[in-house]
Amino acid sequence: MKKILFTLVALSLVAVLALGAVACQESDWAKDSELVVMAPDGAPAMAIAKLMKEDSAILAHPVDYRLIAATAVASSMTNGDADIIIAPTNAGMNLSIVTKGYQLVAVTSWGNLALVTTDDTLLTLAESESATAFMAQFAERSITSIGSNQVPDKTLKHLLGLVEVENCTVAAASEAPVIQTGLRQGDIDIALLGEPAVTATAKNVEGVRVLGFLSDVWSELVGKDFPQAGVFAKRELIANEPEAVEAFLTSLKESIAYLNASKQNAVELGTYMEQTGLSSLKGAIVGLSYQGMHQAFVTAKDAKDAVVAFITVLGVQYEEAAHADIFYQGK
Amino acid sequence: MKFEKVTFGYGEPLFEDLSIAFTPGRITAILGGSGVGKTTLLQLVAGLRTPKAGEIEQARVSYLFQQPRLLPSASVLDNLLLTMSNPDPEKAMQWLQEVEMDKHARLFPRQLSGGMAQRVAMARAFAYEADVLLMDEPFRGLDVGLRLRLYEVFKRAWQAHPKTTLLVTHDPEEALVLADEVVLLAGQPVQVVYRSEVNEGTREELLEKLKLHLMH
Amino acid sequence: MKKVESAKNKKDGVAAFRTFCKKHLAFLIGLGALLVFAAVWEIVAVCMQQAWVLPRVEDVLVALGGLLAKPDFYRATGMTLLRSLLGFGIGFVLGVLLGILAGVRRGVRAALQPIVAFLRAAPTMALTLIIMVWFRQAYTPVCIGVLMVFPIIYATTADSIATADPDLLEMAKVYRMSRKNKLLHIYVPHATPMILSGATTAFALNIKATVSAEILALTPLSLGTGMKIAKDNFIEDGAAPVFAWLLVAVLLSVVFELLFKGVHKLLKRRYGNEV
Repeated sequence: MKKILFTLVALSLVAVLALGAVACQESDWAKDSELVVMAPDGAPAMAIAKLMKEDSAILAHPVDYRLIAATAVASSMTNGDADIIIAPTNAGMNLSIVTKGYQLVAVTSWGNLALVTTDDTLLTLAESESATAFMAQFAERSITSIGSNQVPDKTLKHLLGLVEVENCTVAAASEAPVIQTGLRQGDIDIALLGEPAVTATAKNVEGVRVLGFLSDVWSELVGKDFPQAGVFAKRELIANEPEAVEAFLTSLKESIAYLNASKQNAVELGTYMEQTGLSSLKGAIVGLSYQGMHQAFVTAKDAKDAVVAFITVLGVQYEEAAHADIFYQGK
Repeated sequence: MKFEKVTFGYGEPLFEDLSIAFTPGRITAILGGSGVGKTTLLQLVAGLRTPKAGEIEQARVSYLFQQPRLLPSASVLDNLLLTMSNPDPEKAMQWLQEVEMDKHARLFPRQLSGGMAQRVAMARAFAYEADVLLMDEPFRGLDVGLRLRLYEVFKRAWQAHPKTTLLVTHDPEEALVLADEVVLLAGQPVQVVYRSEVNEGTREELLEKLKLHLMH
Repeated sequence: MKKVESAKNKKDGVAAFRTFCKKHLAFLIGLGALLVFAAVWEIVAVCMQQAWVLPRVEDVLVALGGLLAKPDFYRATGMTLLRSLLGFGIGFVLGVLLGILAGVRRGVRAALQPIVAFLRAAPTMALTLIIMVWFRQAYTPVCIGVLMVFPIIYATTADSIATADPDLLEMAKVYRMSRKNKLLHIYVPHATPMILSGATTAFALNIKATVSAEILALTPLSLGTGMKIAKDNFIEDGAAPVFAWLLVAVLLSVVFELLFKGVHKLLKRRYGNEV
C-alpha cells in the first residue's frame, strides 16, 4: 500500500517537473534549428508584421514568431526564451547589462507617445512658438499618463523638468482604456497615450485633439532622437550565426519599409495582426496611425548616441567602458 | 480466556494485578458500576489496548458493540462478507437466516431500524471465525419487546456455534437471562467481588452484592 | 357532452401546469430572478446613457452573436476549457494523493503546511506574474489552475481522512479488515462527499483563475486573450464585446457547475445519500 502511494507521488512530482522542463528551452543552434522571435503586442510589433505575415525564415532557420504580453518581455529575456526580441530600449539595455546575454542590434521604434486633450484652449506643438513654449502651457495642469515609472511617465517628467514647468502633476493611469473613459467623462483633460490608442481616442471620443508627439518635443529640447524600442538578439546567436543575424536585419529593414510605404500596406499588415487573434491592433486604426508609430530601421551602431542619452535619462546604469559592446557593430 | 496479573489505567491505575480466568465455551456476564472498566476490559482482550503489565491470552475475537457499527456504504450481505476471513456468500446467508435478516440481504444500513441493524451486527460477529465473542452492552437502549426478541435470536444463534463469550452489561436481569456465569467488578483498584454460576440463588445474591457495592 | 369534456380538459391542463410549477419551483424562481436582473440592467443602461460603462442588454447579445459567428471563438473557448480541465485534473490528482499521505502521516501534513498556506494566501495575480517567468504563455494558465485547485483538494482530502469515523475504524481493527477494504468501504465513502463539494468550489475558482492568467499572459487561442483584446479596443468597438466575453466565461462556469451537480446526483443514486 505504502509502495503504491509512494510511486504515485513520485510519478506526479515527475510530471510536474516535466511540465517545468518543457517551459525551459535549450538554446542550441544547428544550422536549421528553429529560432524564436518575440515582440510585445502593439506598435513595436508592427516592425516585424510583414515577417510574421509571411512566416519568413531566417536563412535556413524556421522562425517561431510570438506575440507576447508587454509584462512578459523582461522574463523572456531573463530566462533566455527569446533568440531575438523587440523590447523597450531602456528595459532591454538594462537586462542586457544585468544578464549579459543580449546585444542591441537595431532600434525600430522612434516614439509613438503623444499628448492629447479635450481642452480647446491649448496649442498644438505645431502652433506653438517652440517646444519650450509648448510645454510651458502645462503649468498648473494635470497630465494623466500611461506607463507609470516607465518610458512614458519618466520621459514626460524629464521634459517638464527641462522646461521647469511649474506645478504640473503627472497622474498615473494603469492603461489606455482608463484614460479613454476619463476623457469621455471629463475627469481627465490632458493625457499621454501611445499610438494606436492616440488615433483611436481622437477618432472615437468627442472633442479630443492630438497636441503633439513627445518624440518631437524631445528632439528639440534634448537635441537627440527618441529611441523608444529596439531589437535585441542573443549574444550566443550572434556569435554562432552571424550571417543569420545579418539576414534578419536586412529582412527587418525591408519589413519596416513596406509598412511605411503606403496606408494600404499599413492596413494590410494591421489587418493581419488583428486576425491572429492575439493582437489588439486593428487594420483600420493601424492605417490611420502608422506614421505616428514612427517605425524606422536604424542600426545599433548608428543609434548609439541617441540610445545612451535616452537610457541615461531613464536611470539605466550604463557605463561606456563596461557596456559598450552591447551595441552590435555589425559583421 | 485468561487475564493474568494485568495492570492498566488512564493515569490512575484502573486494574492492578488483576487476574481472571474465564470459563471457555460459556457465556460470562460482566457487571459493575459505570467507570469500573467493563468496556476497557473487553478492549484489552480484543487487543485494542495494551496492558502496562501482565499478560492477556491472545485470541481471535468477534466484537458486538453497543452501536451496530455497520459499514454504511455496503449492503447487509456485504457487511458480513467484508469482515469474514474467507468470504463465503452461502455461509453469510445462513447466518443472516439465523438472525432472520436474510430477506433483507440487499438492503443498506440506512434502511434498517436499530434492532435490525444490531441483528446484522450479530450475524457478522458469528460469521467471523473467532474463538471469543465480546459483547459490550449491545442491547442497551432498545425497548423491552425488541430486547426480548433479540435475546431469543442471540441465544438461538449462539447455540448453533457456542464459543467463549464475555457479555458486558449494566442490567442484572439480562445477565441472568443470557449468561451461564456472572462476574461483578468493583473497587479501586478494580477487583472481582463476586463470581457465581447462574442458578437458583444467584439472583438474590447478585442483587445484594450490587446494592452493597454500588450504593454508597 | 362536449362542453363538460372541454371543461374537464381545461381543469386537467391547469392541474398539470400547477404540478409542473411545483416540481421545478426552484428553477422557475431562478429563471424569474434572472429576467428581473436583465430588465433592471436594461433600465439602468438606458437611463445612464453611458454605453461605454454599461451597454444595453441587446447590444451585449448582438456582440455575443458576433462572437459566436467566428470559428476562432469556438477554438479559443475549447482551449480555455481544455486548460481549465488540465489544471483541475493535475491539481485534483496531486491534491488527493498528497492529501491521503497527509491524512495518514502527521509528519507529511506538517511538512506541507507552509507550502499550502502560502498558496492559499498568495494573490493569484502575483503568482501569475511569477509563473509567467518560468512557463510559456500557453502553460501558465494550466499551472495557475493547478496552484488554485491543489490546496483546496489537498486540505479536503486530508481532513476527510482525519475525520473518518473512529468507531468504524475500531470495528475494522477488531475484525482485521484488509487495508484495501478499509480504504474502499470506510475512507472512500466518507471522503467522497467532502471531496466532491471541494471539487465543485475548486473548479469554479479554477476557471476564473485560468482566464485571469490567460489575460495576463496573452495566451494564444484563449478566452482571456479574447477578453483582453475586447477591452483594449473598447473605445472603437464599445463595451458590449467585453460584456459578451464575460457572459461566455460565466456561462462556461455555470455549465460545468451543473455538470458537477449532475455527476453528484448520479453517484447519489448509485451509492445512496451518504455520498
